[in-house]
Amino acid sequence: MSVKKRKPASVFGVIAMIAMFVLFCWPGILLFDRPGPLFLGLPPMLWGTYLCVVLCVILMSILVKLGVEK
Amino acid sequence: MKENYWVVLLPFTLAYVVIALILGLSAAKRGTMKKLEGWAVASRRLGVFVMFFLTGAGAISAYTFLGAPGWAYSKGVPVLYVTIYLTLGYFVAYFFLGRVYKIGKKFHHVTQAGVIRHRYDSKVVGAIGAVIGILGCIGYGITQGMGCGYILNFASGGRIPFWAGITLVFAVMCIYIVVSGLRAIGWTNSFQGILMAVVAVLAGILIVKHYWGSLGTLFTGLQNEAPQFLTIRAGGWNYRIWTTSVLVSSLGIICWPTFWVMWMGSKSINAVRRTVSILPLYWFVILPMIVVGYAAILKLPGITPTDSIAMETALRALPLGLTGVLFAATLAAAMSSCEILILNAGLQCATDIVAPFSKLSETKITQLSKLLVLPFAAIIVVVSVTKPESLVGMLLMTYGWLVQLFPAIVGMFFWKRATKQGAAIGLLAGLVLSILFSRLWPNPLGIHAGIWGLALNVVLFVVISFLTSPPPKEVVDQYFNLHEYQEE
Repeated sequence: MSVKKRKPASVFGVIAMIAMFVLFCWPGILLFDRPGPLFLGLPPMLWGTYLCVVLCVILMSILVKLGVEK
Repeated sequence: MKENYWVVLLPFTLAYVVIALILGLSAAKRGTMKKLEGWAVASRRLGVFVMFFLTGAGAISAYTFLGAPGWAYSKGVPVLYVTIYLTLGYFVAYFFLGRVYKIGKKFHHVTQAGVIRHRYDSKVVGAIGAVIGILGCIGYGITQGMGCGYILNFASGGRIPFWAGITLVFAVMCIYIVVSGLRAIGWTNSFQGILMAVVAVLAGILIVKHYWGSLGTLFTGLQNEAPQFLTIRAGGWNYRIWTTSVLVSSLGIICWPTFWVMWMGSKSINAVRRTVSILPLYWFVILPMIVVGYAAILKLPGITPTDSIAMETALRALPLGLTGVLFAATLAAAMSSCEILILNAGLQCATDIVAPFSKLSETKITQLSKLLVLPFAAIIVVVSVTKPESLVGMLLMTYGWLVQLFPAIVGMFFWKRATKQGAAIGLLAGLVLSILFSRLWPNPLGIHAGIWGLALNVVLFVVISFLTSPPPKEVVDQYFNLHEYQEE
């Protein structure tokens, strides 16, 4: 993969990483920090945690395809 | 509580120790253990399967099976920061691990401090990096040592004293680490990783079913009777400590010298990339154990110490045989994390503190690395016996120390102007402030001590780097032309 192609991938990777921090630290965490309502029996914070794991795996898999860390 | 439970639990738990010993010793046959790269990084031949469990099980530790349910039981959802920081931490690590792998393979480095010494062209900076790494390993090792002590003491019904349990487990680990190095850890972690995942899910399901019937009933009960356990603020935390704890711990992942050793052991850059991209899926193992803590909030109030809640709950709710396997898995979690810590402590002390200031041959350095595993294990055992902090509390403090390596690591790969003076002074000042704000004035303004240290560290690192002579161009170029590296 050429250097030119890698650069946008790096930018995408860094933006995605910062977005994940914003979503799961302050202020994004306010979305999940509540006792209810329960969804499929689980509270919002547990769903937030699952969402964090799944989103990170998807984003990192995209980065593997793009070869961003080279 | 079942009577004479120890007659079943203890054999299960001890059987696991024997299995780990056999697996660990068997691993030596396939490696070249007389050479440093053979012992320390398994001759750089680990594939995706072993890498996945080596890294995954290495990160899942005593706090997953003891500390995390304990926090869920006593504080509620703030414990979820563990899953979130591990996930985000590997996202951050992703940007570094390719570079770590390439620089390790190209220049035959086996430790993080070795890479730091090379890039900053300074034995002293390398040694400082090694000291911080070793401190982190000892701090985290104490968490695991305490876990080992709790498990064997509980499994034996108090017949194996806390100190004796820790000593036994560490003695066994030392044997197979000295003999088989990283390859032993890869093999044992693969077994431990599968065992932990299966047992955590099974225990979570059965314990919830026993006490509540379903997850919905459990959380509806909490919502009605103890809603404070379902929010961060009411759990005794606030958004500042949540955010700064996640931040410190996530940035701290890349600072763990143990992960560098693991990544350098990978057989290819693709293996390490693929491993890390799917690794967060393994953190689902933590969630069933957290749910075990929730299940006990209303059903078993007043249990102390809270770190023992998973064991207490299992003993009341599960068949004894399965409880025995859970105890074995809990011990596996503590051991899987601890093995790499004591290997790394011995390795860094020999290769980054002793060797650069002496004229030892590679064979002598390898022997010294193996030998130094023993005193570091002994230090962890002795401190663990004093039970210095709760498991998660100890973990948080350790991350505060280790994260001080972050600016030097970023500078190493991304800032050509970073100098050894800037790195050294920033590291030391950040470490001192972090220790002061952990011990004397804990977390001022509700902000994690590590963030305060990191802020001072970054300012000093940047200012002093600009005020001092730039590092040799030929060395810096080696780190900034890594895209030219081709795998053999």
